[in-house]
Parts: sequence; C-alpha cells; structure tokens
Amino acid sequence: MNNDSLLSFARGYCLSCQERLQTSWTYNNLFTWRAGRLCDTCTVQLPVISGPACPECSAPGHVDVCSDCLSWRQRAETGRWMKNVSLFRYDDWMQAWTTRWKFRGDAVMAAAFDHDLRRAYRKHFPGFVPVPVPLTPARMKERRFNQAEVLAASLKVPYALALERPDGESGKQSKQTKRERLQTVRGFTAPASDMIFGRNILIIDDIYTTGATVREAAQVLEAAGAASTASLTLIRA
Amino acid sequence: MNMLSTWFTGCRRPASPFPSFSSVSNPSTTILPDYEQMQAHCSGRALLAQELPYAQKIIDTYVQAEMLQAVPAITQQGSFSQCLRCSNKNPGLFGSHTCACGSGRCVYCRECLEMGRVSACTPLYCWTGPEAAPVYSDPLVWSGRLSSEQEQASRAAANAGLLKQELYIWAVCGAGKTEMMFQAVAEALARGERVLWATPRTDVVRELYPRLAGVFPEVPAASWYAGSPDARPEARLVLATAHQARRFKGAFDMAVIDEVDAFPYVFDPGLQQAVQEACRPQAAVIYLSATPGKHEQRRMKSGALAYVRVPRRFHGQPLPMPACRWAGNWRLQLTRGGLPHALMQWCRSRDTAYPLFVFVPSVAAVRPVVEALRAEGFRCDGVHADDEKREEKITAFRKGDIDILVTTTILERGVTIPKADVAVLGADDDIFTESALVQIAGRAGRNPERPEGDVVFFHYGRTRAMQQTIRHIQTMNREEAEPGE
Ligand SMILES: [Zn+2]
Ligand SMILES: [Zn+2]
Ligand SMILES: [Zn+2]
Ligand SMILES: [Zn+2]
Repeated sequence: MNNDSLLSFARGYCLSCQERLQTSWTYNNLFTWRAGRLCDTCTVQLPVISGPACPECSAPGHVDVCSDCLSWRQRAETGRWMKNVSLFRYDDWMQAWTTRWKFRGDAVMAAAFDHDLRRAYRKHFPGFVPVPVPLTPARMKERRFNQAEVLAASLKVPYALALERPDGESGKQSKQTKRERLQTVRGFTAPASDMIFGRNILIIDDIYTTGATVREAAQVLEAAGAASTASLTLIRA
Repeated sequence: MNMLSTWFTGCRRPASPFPSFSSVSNPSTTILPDYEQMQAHCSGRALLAQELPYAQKIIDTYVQAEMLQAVPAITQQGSFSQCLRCSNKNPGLFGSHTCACGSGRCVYCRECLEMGRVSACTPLYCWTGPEAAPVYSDPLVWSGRLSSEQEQASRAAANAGLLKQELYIWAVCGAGKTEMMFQAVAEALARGERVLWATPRTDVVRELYPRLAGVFPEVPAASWYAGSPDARPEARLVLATAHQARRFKGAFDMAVIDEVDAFPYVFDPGLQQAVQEACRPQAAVIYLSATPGKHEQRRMKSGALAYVRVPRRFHGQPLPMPACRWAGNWRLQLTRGGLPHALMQWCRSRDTAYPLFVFVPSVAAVRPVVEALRAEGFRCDGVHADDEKREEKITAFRKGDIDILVTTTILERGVTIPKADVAVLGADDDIFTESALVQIAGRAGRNPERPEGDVVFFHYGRTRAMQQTIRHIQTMNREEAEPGE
C-alpha cells in the first residue's frame, strides 16, 4: 500500500478534526513534518510520550524497567524479545481519536503520524521487517481495513503479512478484565516464510495495553524462526 | 453571503441519483417478511445495510422484489468522487484505504462518517416500493390563540403548503413563529404528507421537539441532531439540523426552514443540497426568520419571493431597545481575570429575580466571566458549543437554579427563557454581526408579564453592526406602531 495515495485525498483539512487548515501554522512551524496534516488545536493536544518512560515498553512516568515488564521477564516465553516503543499516551483526546480512526473507520487519520512512526522506526529498529498484527477474518470483513496494516504501510519499507489469526476469539478485549486478557490465546499462527526466518521482526499494532497481544505474536514468530522480535505501537495505554 | 438562504428558487434540481417511487403496488407483497415495518423504516431514506434491523438475506429478498434498490454510495468520475448521502464532492473530505472487499483501494466519505461510514463498495438501500402515507386528520391539539398578524401569516403558510409554494415569513423575535406554523403543518399531516422542520442549531431542535410533539400527540415525530439517540424512522414530523437532514432522501412534502438567515454561517452548499435532497422535488418550502439577509430583502421587495411580515411580538409590546455602555478594554480585563467595571456594576444593580444571559464573543471568554461572577456571589454557569453538559445547564437556567448564564453565540437563537435580561460583553467584536445582535436582543422581553426586558451592549467602541441593530429594532417598532405600512 502506498501512503502517498492515502493522502491524494484528505488534503487541506486537519486529519483529526476536519477543520480547514489555516495558512499560519504556528505550532506546525515547529513540527514541520506534521504541517498540512493536523491543525494547531490538535497538534498542541497530542499526548506525545516525552520524558521518562519504561525502556522496555514506553510506559510513561517510569525511570527504570516497569513492574509489568519485570513480570514478563520472569515468564521468559519470548527469549529473543527486545522492547516496545510507543509514540503517544492514551488520554481522552487519543481515545476520541482512536474511536473515529478505528471504530468509525476513518483510516486516513493515521497519515498524520507517518513521519513520527518513520522516525521511531529509523531510530530504534532499522532493518527490521514490519509485521502488522492481523484482525480476525470476521472483524476484517466488518471493518474492511486493518489499522495495524495502515501503520505498517506508513513506514514505507516492505512489510510482511506473516501472521494469521483465526475466527472465534471470545469477546472484545475491552470487555475483559486484565487477567482474562493476559490469559486469552489469540491463536496466531505464522506459516514458515523467508520473510521471517533469521530476520529481526518488528510487530506493528495500534495500542499496547498489557503487552499480551504482541508477546503472543512474538512467541509465534520466534517459533517460525525470527532472529529477534520487538514492537512499535502508536499508543501506550 | 446570503445567496444561500433561499435555496430552492431558481435552481432546477439536477436529475436525482436516487430511484423514484413506483406507485404500482407489487403483487408479491404478501410473501415479504415484515413488510409494513420495512416500508415505514425505509421510505424516504437512503440506508446502509447496518442501519436496517434485518439480515442481509431479507434485504436481498426486498431488492429482488424491487422494493429496495441498492445504489452505489460513492460515484467516481475520473479522480473526482461524490458521496450520494451527503453530496460531498470535496476531495479533501474523502479518504481511501486498501479494502477487505477485494477490489483494491476503496474511497470512503469523511464528511458524513459519523452517520456510519459509506464507501465505494457499500451500497445505500433506497425504498422503491409503494409509499406509506398515513393520514392524521385533525392532528393539532392546541388551545392557544393567534393574534391577527399571526393568523394572517398562519393562513399564508397553510396556503403555501397546499399549493406547494415557497414563502418567507419575516417576523420579529418573539412574534410566535412556531405557533404560526401549526396550522400549515396540521393540514399537511392531514393530507398524508411528511413534514421536515430544519433548523441550524442543535439547541433549537431540542427546544422545539417537545413543543411540536406536544401539540401533535398522535403523530409519530422524531428529532435528529448530532449525538441524538436514534429516532423513530417512521416519523411523519421530523425535526432536524441541516446535517442530519442527510438521513432523508425525497421524503418530505413540506419543509419549514427555521432561522434561515443563520444557515450561511454554518452552512455550505453541500448542506443546502442535502436539505433539498431530503425533500421531494415539488415540496412546499416555508422560511422563517427575524433577520433576512440583504439578498432576500431585495427579492421580497421585487416580488420574486412571496413573503409575510409580522413586525409585532405576539403580546403586542415593542421590542426592547438595546442600551450601549462603554466597558473599556474588556479583552485586557478578561486576560487579567477581571470583569469590566460597567458590567459588574450593572449586574449588581439589576433585579436578580430575572434570569440574565451574558453573551461573550469566544469560548475562551466564558470561563473567566463565569469565575468573576461567581466570586461576586452570583449563581452562574457557562455554556459553549462543545459543552457536553449544555442541555443540563440550560434546563437549570430555565428552572431558576442558575441566575446568570454566560454563553457564546450558540444560544443567540431559538432558546426561549421567559422574562430574561440580556447583556453582551464585547459587543464590538466582529462575531456580533447585525443579525446576531438582533437575535440576541430578541432573547429579552418575551413574556407578556414582563415585555420590557433589559438589553445592554457592553463595548470598547461602537461598531456599525451595533448601530444597524438599533436602527433595525427602531424600524420594526415603528412599523408596529403604524400597521399597514
Ligand atoms: Zn484538528
Ligand atoms: Zn515496561
Ligand atoms: Zn458523505
Ligand atoms: Zn471495498
């Protein structure tokens, strides 16, 4: 998927709030890569993760490795796991943004973060092969696009649809308790492929909540021969 | 600017992309499941499959029976797309993505996304079967009386409705425009017609709905505004903001367009077309306004647009004249967290038994004004367009739990609080146009028990708009003193 054509539409309007973009971008002059995509009002509200964050999962407010990550280490199911990098915190603004993007289906909104994602990719994961977390076929049919794939495409490097996910997952993640979510098996499978074997794999998803989704994906990818695994997610909840 | 106000004249409707209704009743009717519900649900609409409470299999049965027609939601000519639901043609308000339907990239409409996404690979279903036209004979339950001027306007409106004509009712704020329309609406419903009442603002829809539903108790009515709960689809009397009128196609025989002059400010040509598409081609259109634009006034004077003028309020008292008071550099004072002395002084000296609106020019000004007034001991709250608690606050204000309501221009129209006084802080700001100030002044003195009401413009230099407002109100009051012009 070519992201330039993603933006052949949706020019001249804020990708988040649909305001017509003004010619004087005071904030966007500072963040030129967002110019022409987000309005000033939205730009100042972006909950960018800056300052101290967990080095392994980007959880904001931690100077050292957070307790979640420590407990993941103890389980050690994913021996070749590296880290997760997220760009934004999950606040009210981001929640409203996600609702429109993912659930209402305004796929182009993610183009506002193309440059941020690409910078993070080049800084933390150069040479990694992006692999978007798949939707179940039923959810895919209903939503018609995979938000993780939209993010993977924006990196402008070849990505691999290496993961598969069967139908019949029980209930939406948001309706489960944290414990349930950790235990849920999503049933990912990764058919053996040259794109995976011996490569560093970067799992792409929209949100990192408990880390269970990306860990499960990592486990499957490692079993399929990945040299190492990491994840890049838009939001750290 | 105001060329937009009277949309229906002079522009022939382009060939509608939506199928027309067939009047032949289909013999296979009996075998179709839930026929009557489906007919009521789909008549005059263009719906996504997900908006139909039926399985795809049943929808397909109706399509085969030619009762429903599946129309592509987005048409594409070269690189240009058009959304059939909201008429959006602006390339900036479309998006596309690789689509699971298998046909590569699909274009979708961002403009009407909130109503459920339409994309190039999702059809809209339009009813092409026989139309339901339930007749409500004598639906009006109202014991009020019209003044002779109201009566005259009411008769003209009913007549326009019968002859499917266009009529402009130019009536001062507080003339009782809503009541003037009761007869015309009642007669349309009695003819088995469907009626749209479109207004520019959500608050106006919310306020009008209970009043109209109350006087037409037998008639299924619905109100549509952004975030409204799903309204009954079979409604014969529909109140809607212009945006929400997109939910209907070729549905209405009569449209009442309330506060029509306010539309250009929130209205683009796409929205006009949406309201136009919601109506049948030969629908009657009645515009209501206190402040017609220059363009309309010219058309009325030249005889191109039929109109009725009601210069008197229903209680027969003149409109309150605004007073202008110098408030100094109110912007500076607000940034320092204070209120202009003149406004504070006036708030202290007035009779607090009456509710007070304080209009401010921007959302940013609401909070400092509220805080300053609370510090003085007033029960005070503020509202603006994105305020989620707006409805609650207006209700509290109406009940008298709040003395002073600080508001942006969103409440300039429609919302009626009896016996209220009005202050405008920063009346010299550009946002307060003549039309806005006339509307704002019209919030005062709407109750026959207290027809006078105070209106004060606090300013930092008189503007043309303020002077024009005063002249406008003087003219209206003079006309009222010598009826018959
Ligand atoms: Zn914005
Ligand atoms: Zn961590
Ligand atoms: Zn649309
Ligand atoms: Zn498609």
